[in-house]
Amino acid sequence: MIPGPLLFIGLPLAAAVAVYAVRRWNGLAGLLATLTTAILAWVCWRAPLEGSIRVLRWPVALGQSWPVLDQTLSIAPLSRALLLFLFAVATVLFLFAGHFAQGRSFFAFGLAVLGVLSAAVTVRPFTFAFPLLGVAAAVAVYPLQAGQPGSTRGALRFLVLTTLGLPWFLPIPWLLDKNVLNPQNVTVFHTSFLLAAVGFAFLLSVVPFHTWLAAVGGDAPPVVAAFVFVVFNAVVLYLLLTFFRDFAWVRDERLVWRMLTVAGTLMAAVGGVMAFPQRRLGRLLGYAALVDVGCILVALGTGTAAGWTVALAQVANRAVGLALAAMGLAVVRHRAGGDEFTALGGLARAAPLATAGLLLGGLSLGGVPLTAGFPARWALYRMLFAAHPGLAVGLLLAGGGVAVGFIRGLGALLRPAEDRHVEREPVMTAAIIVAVMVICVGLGLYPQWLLPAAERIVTGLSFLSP
Amino acid sequence: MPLPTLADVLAQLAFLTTTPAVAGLVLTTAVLIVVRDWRLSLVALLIQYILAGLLLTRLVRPEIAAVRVFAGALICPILYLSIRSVPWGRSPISPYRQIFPLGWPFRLLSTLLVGLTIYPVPARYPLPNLPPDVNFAVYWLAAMGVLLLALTEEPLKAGLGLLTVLLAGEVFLVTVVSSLSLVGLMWVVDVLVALAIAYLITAGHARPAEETLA
Repeated sequence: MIPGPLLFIGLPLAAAVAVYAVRRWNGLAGLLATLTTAILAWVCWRAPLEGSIRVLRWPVALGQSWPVLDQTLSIAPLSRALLLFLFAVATVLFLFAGHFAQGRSFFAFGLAVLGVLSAAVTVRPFTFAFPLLGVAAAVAVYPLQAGQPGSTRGALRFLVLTTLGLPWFLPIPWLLDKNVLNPQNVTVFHTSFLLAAVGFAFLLSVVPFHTWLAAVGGDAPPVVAAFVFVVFNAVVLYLLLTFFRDFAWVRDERLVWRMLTVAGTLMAAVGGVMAFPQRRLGRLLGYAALVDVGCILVALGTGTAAGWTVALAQVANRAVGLALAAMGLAVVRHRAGGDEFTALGGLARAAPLATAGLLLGGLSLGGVPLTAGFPARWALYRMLFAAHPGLAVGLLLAGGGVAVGFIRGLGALLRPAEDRHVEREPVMTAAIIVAVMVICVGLGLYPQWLLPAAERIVTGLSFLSP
Repeated sequence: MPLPTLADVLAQLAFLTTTPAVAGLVLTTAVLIVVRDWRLSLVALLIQYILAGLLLTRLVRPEIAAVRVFAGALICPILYLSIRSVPWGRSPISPYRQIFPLGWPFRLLSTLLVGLTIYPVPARYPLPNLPPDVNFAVYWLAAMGVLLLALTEEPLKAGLGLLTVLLAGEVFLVTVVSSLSLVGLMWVVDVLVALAIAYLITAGHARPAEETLA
């Protein structure tokens, strides 16, 4: 019987080796990677936590724990939902990249990142998750840089700022163990709280540790950037959530909720202000991601079940917006030879579906109605408006900054072409973009597709007030 | 004549495990920041790992300290080989891309300034479980690593800064983390970070026609 964690760690890592061997054939590598992640997403979706299921003839017990050295790896309902999300997002992005190349190393190293992050999600005690996150960050550098000569800024900043967030968590268990005999000593709790706050500030790209987002957006292949934005952010938010769940003293600290709100507001404000005047689509995507994470933190900062449901729905919705915008950007950047506004003339006519995808994804990240990003954002505004109207308006304006940034991008794309011939987007690429556009609009019109899942997860967190 | 054991070697180097090691770390970090030559920088990094390992022998089992030095010693050849594989200094891209155009006097002044600022901090906020000199070394390494990161975006120097910050964290963590596998995992992160830095060094100097790993 194969324990669930072994499958989710072992299969992507084994597939990564095979995919690396065939990396020169982009279509084949993409197909293998897509199949691997699709199978794992299907297992997550269908397999019961109790009992077993047959995967390619092998019996797999999803809920069976797997002891490794002095740790245990196991899949719980919450980690199962996250794994499903990670592998589903990766499937869509790999499928696109298989048809529209995003660097030879994306599939192999992307699978390796997923394998390591699966270990980080399933490992107990949770302190082990942070070095594993560091391993994943170091591996992600290769597809982020993607062999582009001279371009190292985005990958380097991502590596530095993620790695700097790791060591802060490791002394926390030791501090808490030391306090077992003297639980009245609040200094230990304050120190642990401070350490975790600094660590999460790095990992969640709280201002001023946000600079890698725009740099990665500007430098990395767009779909790889979206993969990193979505996957790493989701795992860090999961770790934050487990931190809240496992340590009552964190939840009891009133300051923590205020800090989440302040950090989120700051991120949204900086992201919105910086997105508005951007003249490069890639950097705009980075700032849009910053605004979105800011809104998620503000939703978490409400400390209520409703707020956390909104935050989780937002995590899923932003994946759709980011993926769609990145796919459109990938085509546009390839056809224009860059993503500066001055180079985009005529692209809207030559690649209309990619342009539409880019715009729709961008508007979704800005929380514009009829897009996937809207329902959660609207629920957040309404939730905040009664108690903090200024904050609600501020977040609305930040989203507006992102939306206006992408509309300005559309203006550049609609300008007449210079004297050059621009190829149309490939059929399969356009088909994938259209499919994701349908999902984006669908989630905007029918948010109830996602909300029950988010509500079920939050219901399991008994510490939240309704 | 029998080969000396690890304990024999450490006994002979005992004089280095206190203040001389800390002074050595102050010097090596200064070299990393001020000197541009990559050979000197890599030698300074290697010495830094050896000195940190010697400091650790007072706090943890010598075998653990030896593995720390070994992991550090592994990092230096990784970086060396990547630099040797690129036209270092002959590339159209400057090998020392800085955030600001900084000469060595500025870097030396920054080192002194940050050093003076950080000097009273270890005494005021001592880390638990550490003797005063090791406590100072941890703060110093962390501050200088961050300074190095702040001064440049060139992969080699920024990478050396990141590895220095990680080393500072590990000197402290080795004394408080009970799980050896967790400590080992952090060292694996060190080596993988070095590999990523080595890749960025190579990619940063690649010409458009050259094929890189990715």
